[in-house]
Amino acid sequence: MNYLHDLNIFRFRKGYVYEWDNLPVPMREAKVFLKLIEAYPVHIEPDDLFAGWYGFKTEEEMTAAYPPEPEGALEKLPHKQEGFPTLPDIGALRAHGFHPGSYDTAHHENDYRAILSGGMNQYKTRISEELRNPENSEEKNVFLEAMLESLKGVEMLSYKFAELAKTMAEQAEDAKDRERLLRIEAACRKVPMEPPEDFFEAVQAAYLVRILTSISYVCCVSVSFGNFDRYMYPYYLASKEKGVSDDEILAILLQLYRILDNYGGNDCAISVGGVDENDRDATNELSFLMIRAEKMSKLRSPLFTARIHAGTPKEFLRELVSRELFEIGQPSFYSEERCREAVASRGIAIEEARNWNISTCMNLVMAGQEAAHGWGCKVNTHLPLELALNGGQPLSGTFDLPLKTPPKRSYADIDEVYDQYRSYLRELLHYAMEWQHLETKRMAQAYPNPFIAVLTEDCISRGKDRWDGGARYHNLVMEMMGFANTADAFTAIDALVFEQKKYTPDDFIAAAQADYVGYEDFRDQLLRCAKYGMNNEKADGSARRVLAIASELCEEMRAENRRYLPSLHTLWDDVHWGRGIPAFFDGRRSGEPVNKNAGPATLARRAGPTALVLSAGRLDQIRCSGGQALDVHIGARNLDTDAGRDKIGAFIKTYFALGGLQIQVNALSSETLQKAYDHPEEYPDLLVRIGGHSRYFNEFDNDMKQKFIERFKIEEGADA
Amino acid sequence: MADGLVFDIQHFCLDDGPGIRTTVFFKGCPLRCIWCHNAEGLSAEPQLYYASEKCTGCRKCADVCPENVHSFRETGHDVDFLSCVSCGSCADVCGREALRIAGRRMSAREVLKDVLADKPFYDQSEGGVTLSGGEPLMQGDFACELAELAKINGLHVCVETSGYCTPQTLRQILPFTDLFLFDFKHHDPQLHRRFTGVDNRRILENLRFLSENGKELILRCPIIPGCNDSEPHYRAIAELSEELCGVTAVHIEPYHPFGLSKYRAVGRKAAYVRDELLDRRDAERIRDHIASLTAKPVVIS
Ligand code: SF4
Ligand code: SF4
Repeated sequence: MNYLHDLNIFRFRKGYVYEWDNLPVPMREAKVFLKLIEAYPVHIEPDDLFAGWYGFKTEEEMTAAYPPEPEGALEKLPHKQEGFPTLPDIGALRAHGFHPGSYDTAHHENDYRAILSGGMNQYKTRISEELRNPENSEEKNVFLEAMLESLKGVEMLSYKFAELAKTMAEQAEDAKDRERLLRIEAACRKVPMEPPEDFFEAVQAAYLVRILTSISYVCCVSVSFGNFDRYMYPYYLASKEKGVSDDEILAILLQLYRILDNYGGNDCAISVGGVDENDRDATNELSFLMIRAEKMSKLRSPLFTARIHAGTPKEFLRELVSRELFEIGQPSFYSEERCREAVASRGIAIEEARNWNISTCMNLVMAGQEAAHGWGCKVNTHLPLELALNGGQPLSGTFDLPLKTPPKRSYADIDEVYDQYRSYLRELLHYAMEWQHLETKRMAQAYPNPFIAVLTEDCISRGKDRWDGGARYHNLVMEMMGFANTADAFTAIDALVFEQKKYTPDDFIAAAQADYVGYEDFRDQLLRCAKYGMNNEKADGSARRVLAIASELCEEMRAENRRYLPSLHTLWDDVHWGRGIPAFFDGRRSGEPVNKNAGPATLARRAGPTALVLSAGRLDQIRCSGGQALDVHIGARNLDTDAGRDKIGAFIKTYFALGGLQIQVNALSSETLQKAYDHPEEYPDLLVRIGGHSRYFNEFDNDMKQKFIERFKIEEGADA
Repeated sequence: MADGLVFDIQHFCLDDGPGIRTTVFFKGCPLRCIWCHNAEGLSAEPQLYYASEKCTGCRKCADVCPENVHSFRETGHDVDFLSCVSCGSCADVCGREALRIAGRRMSAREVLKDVLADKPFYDQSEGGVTLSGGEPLMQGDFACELAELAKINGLHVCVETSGYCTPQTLRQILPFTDLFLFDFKHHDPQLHRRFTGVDNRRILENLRFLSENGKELILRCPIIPGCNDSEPHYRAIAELSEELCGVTAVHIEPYHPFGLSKYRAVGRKAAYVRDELLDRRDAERIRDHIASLTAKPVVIS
C-alpha cells in the first residue's frame, strides 16, 4: 500500500500554525508537532510484524478528514511577517550557478544506540533535570519546556498503533494473527519510551522514532538508519537467546526494507560492516542476514551501504560484491578508516570520530550530535577562474556584487592564476556563507524543531535549537561543482599559455565566450591536454590544488560550532546544473554536464578504472569531509565467479588504501549498453569483455556495438 | 636491451590470469589464424589505424600526408593503406583521434613503468602483468627482459602464447614466468597448417616441455565454427589436459565477430567472415562435453 504522507504534512502545518499564536515560538512548534501526530491515520497491514504505516489512502480521504488551510494562511506564516530579518541580495551568485542552499529541515541522524539503550524516557529525565538549573535564562527554559512538550508525541504515536493493534486483534479470527497483533500492541505500549529487550522490540522502537523524526521535519526525506547491524546486534542476540530463528529475523528485515522503501525516499541509508570499539571487525550474523534480505527484496531504497576496512573478511566482501546488488546500484562502499580520518579532520578526536555514520547518499555525520546541512551549498568552482582571467568579470553577463580583489589581466605563471583564483573564491564563499548563516539562524528561530533538539547532543544543556547553536557540531556541505573541469582548465592554461606559450588568456576567453564555435582547432588542443582521471600526475596535481584551495578556505571560514565541509558530491546534478552553465575553459561547451562526483570531466579520455582510482586517490579526500563517491562501471560477468568477485573486492580495497572515501561500482546491463550506444560521449570508460579481453565499448563501430548488445541481451536471458 | 614493439597496454584486465592485471600486447605474430580477432597484432611493423566512425571528414590528414594516402570522394574518406609509410603526421593533426599509429617502440623499462602504475592493485589482488599479442615470444629478448624486470619488482607474470617459438626462447623466459596461457588451436597437423599457416608439431613439443618443467599452464582453446568445432578436437583437448600435469584448467573461447572492424581499420581483408557469434548455449554444451572427458576444470572465457 502506498500511503499519502509527505506533502500532507506541509498542508496541515500551514493550517495549524496559528491556533497557538499566543504561545512562545518553540512551544507553538511543539504543539504543531503533536497536532500532526494526532492528524495522521496509522495502519497495520496483514502480515505486518511490526507497526509503521501512516498516511492517507487517497487524496479524497485526506481532504475529507481535514479542511483546507485557512484563507490567506500562507501569508500568515512567520517568515512572511513584517519585521522578519531580511537577507542580503545575492542574486549575482545564483545567476552564476552559485547556490548558497536553503534552510535544511532534514538530515538529522539519530543515535539509535543511545535511543534504544536508554529509551526515550532518558531524555524526559534529562530535560526535567536541566529545567531545575537555577542559572537558566527565561529563553532557555521556554525551549526546554517545548522539548518536554514534544516528547508527549512519542506515546501519542506509539499508543495510536497499540490501540489499532488491539482493535484488530479483537476482530482477528485466526489465533496466530491475534497473537501477532497482541505482540505489536504490547511492544507499542512499551517502546520507544522504555528500552526494548529483543530484536523485534528494538526495530519497533527505532522505526517509531524514525516516523517521529520525519513528522517533525515537516517533510519525510533524509532520515537515515545508521549502523544497523551494530546497534541492533545485542537485541539480535537477545532474540536468539529466546529461540527466535533467523528466518523470523529475516522476515522483520524484509518488512523494514519494504517500509523504508515506501517512506525513505531515495535517501535513507542503512549500513553494514565496519569495526567495533577495539578496532576489531564488527561484521556479525545480522550483517549477513541484512545482505540476504537486500538480495531478496531488490529494492533501491534503503540505500544499502557497506563499511569496509583493511580487515574486512573476504566472505563478507564476496557477499556484497554481487551481481544482484550491483545491477540495482547497491551497495555503496565506504572506507572505515578514511571516513574516520575525514570526520576527525573536522577537529573531532579520532577516538570519537570512530562513531561516524552514513547519512543519505554521502554525508559523514556524528549521529545524534550534529546539525548536518546536507542540502548544502553549490559552489561553481569555475566562476572564480573566469573572474581571474577576465579582469573580475564572468564569461557571460555581469557579476553584480562588489569584489575587493584587484582585477588582473596578465599573469607571469600559473601560480599567479591560482592566487587570484583563491582570492575570488574566498570572496564568493564569504557572500554565500554569510547569507546561509543568516538564513539558517532566522529560520531556526522562526521554526525551531524541539523534538530533534531532544535527540541532538548539547541542545538540552544549551536549551537551543540544533540550527541555532544548540548542536555540538554544525556542518554545512559545500558541493564543489565541476571541480574536475576547473582542474582540467588549469592544466590546459598551464600547458598552452605558460609552457608552450601558444595562446594567451584572452584566447581562452574569446573561445569560451563563443562557446568554441569557430574555435574548433583550439578546442581540439584543449581536449588533448592531460585531464584529471587518467593517472597523469600533472593533471591530477591541478585537481589536488583546486581542492586544496577550497578546503583551506572552508577551514578558514569556520566560526563557533559551524564548519564548512567541501564535497565533490553532485549526484545527478552534474547534468541538471550543467545545463544552465556557460562554456568552461577546459573545452566543455555551454549546457554540457560537468564531472560527476569524484569522477573526471566527461571530455576526459579515459584510461580505465585503475587510472581513475589512482587519480582520485591522489586527491586529499580526508579534507573533503563533505563526502563523495567515485563511480565505476564493470562488466557484470566479472561477478559470476568467486575469483571475479574477489578481484572487484580487491579493487575497492585498493581505492580505500589510496585514500578514497566512497566508491560505487555498477554492473553492466544491456540497458547501460544501449545508453552507451545512444550517447557514447557519456560512457567513454565503459569496458566490455569479449573473447577473454576487456575492450572499450566505444572502440567498436556501430554495427559491432549493435551486435554486442544483441548478444548481451541473449546472455542476460540465458543467465537469468 | 632491445626495444620492443607494443600496440597496447591495457590496465584492469580481469581475465588474463589471477588478480587484477595489466596486459601488454606485443605487435607481430608468426601465425595467420584465419579467425584472428586482433588484426593489428599481426604485422610486426607500426601501421596506420583508422577508426572510420570517428572521422568528421575535416581533411586535415590529407593536407599533411606526404604519400597522398588520404583522399575524399562522395563515398567518404578513402585510405590507401599500401602507400602509407607510418610517419604518423596525419595522426598528429587528427583532432578526432580517428587516426593513430598502432605499434610503438618501447624499452622494457618504459613498459614496466606503465605496468607498475597499477602496483597497488596487484598487491591487493595478487595480480600482475600478462604478456600477450600478437605473439609475445616472437620478440623473445624483449619479452624476457620485461618478464625479468617484472619478477624483480615482485609481480606475478603470465605469458599468453601460441607456443610457436624456439625452445631457446621458452627456456629463457621460463624462470620469469608463473603461468602460461597456452593456445591449442587444432589437434590435426594438416588442418593446423591450413587454418594458422604453421604446423603444430613445435607447438606441442613446447607445451610438453613446459609441463615437464613443472610450469602451470592453462590451455586456451578457440572454438571456431567450421574449423575446429568437432568431436575429435574436443577429445584431443581433453586428452591433452589429462596427459599434461602442468595444465590446471581449460579455457574455451567461443568465436565472436567483434574483431572484424579491426581488419577494416588496418586495411586488411578478413579471411574468415562470419557474422554470428557462437551461441552461448552451444558454447556451454561444448564446455560440458569436454568437462565430461577430463578431470581438469573447463570454463568459458
Ligand atoms: S583528420 Fe581525422 S577527422 Fe579529419 S578527415 Fe582525417 S581522419 Fe577524418
Ligand atoms: S602515417 Fe604518414 S604516410 Fe601514413 S597516412 Fe599518415 S601521414 Fe600519410
